[in-house]
Amino acid sequence: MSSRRVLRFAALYTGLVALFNSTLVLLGERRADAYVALNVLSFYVSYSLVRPPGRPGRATLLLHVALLTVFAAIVSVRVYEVLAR
Amino acid sequence: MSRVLAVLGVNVLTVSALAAAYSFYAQDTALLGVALSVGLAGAVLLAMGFTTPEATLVALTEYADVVGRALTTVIEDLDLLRSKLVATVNGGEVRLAIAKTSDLGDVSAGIGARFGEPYISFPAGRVLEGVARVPELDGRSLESALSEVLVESLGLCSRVATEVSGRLVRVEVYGVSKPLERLCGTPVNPVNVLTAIALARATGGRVALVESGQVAGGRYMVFEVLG
Repeated sequence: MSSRRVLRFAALYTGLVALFNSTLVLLGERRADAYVALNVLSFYVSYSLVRPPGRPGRATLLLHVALLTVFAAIVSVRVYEVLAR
Repeated sequence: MSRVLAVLGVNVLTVSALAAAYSFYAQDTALLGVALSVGLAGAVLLAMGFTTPEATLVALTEYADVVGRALTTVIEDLDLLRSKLVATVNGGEVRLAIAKTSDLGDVSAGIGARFGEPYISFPAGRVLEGVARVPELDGRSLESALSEVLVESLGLCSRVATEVSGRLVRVEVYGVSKPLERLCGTPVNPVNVLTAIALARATGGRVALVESGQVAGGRYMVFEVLG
């Protein structure tokens, strides 16, 4: 049985992802990276509100590094596009 | 590991892969975005599933920590910090004793003194009954018997190595599981106790832990087989 905090985190995170994805689809957003960027934001909002118990292990740290790298790459490309115009 | 989250993560990843494949076919970038986002959520759930310990395991680790601290206080109070942990198998029942001498004889359970030296003795019941008895004291058969219980059954560590020198057996355990590794700071800890019991059962008699410490990537324990 998983701990309640982890399940609460999973519920909040997947709920936010569903909410953001459906909102973006309804707004007619065509850029794929916008969906991923908001997903990363959902993760960190959920993580801040409901931090899963236990000490973060190496896999969790790798997950943070991967998510921040993806987010930084998306933002960098968008900033570059604006500056290059 | 939380199996529920891991299975959920794999399922979500599968669905997102199918959605991403269809988005390429349909040339729909919005659907690709949704598929990537859902795939990321699946990967997060999978990672959380692998990194989150079972709630029961967390409770047991905390409980073992509390019990270990309580026992350490008693050991310090009785001046038994430089003592031996003796595991004895008698009629299938295991008895553990912490004393300065390994020749305690038949003492009653509890805290007491024998020949002027304090001891702590307590019954451990029929724990680790499945350990195979080795016909003779040699490194290979001991290693096989200890691996079967410490690695396969208990998941205490990932590898066991043994070396026999007369009546002394050096046991090295590598890749000790993280929750148990945290508890190894106390004199009586799960790794020492379970290895002592497993060795006592494998030899079918009495063993005394005379030395323990750390090696690169694991821990070592030196036992004296007393018969």
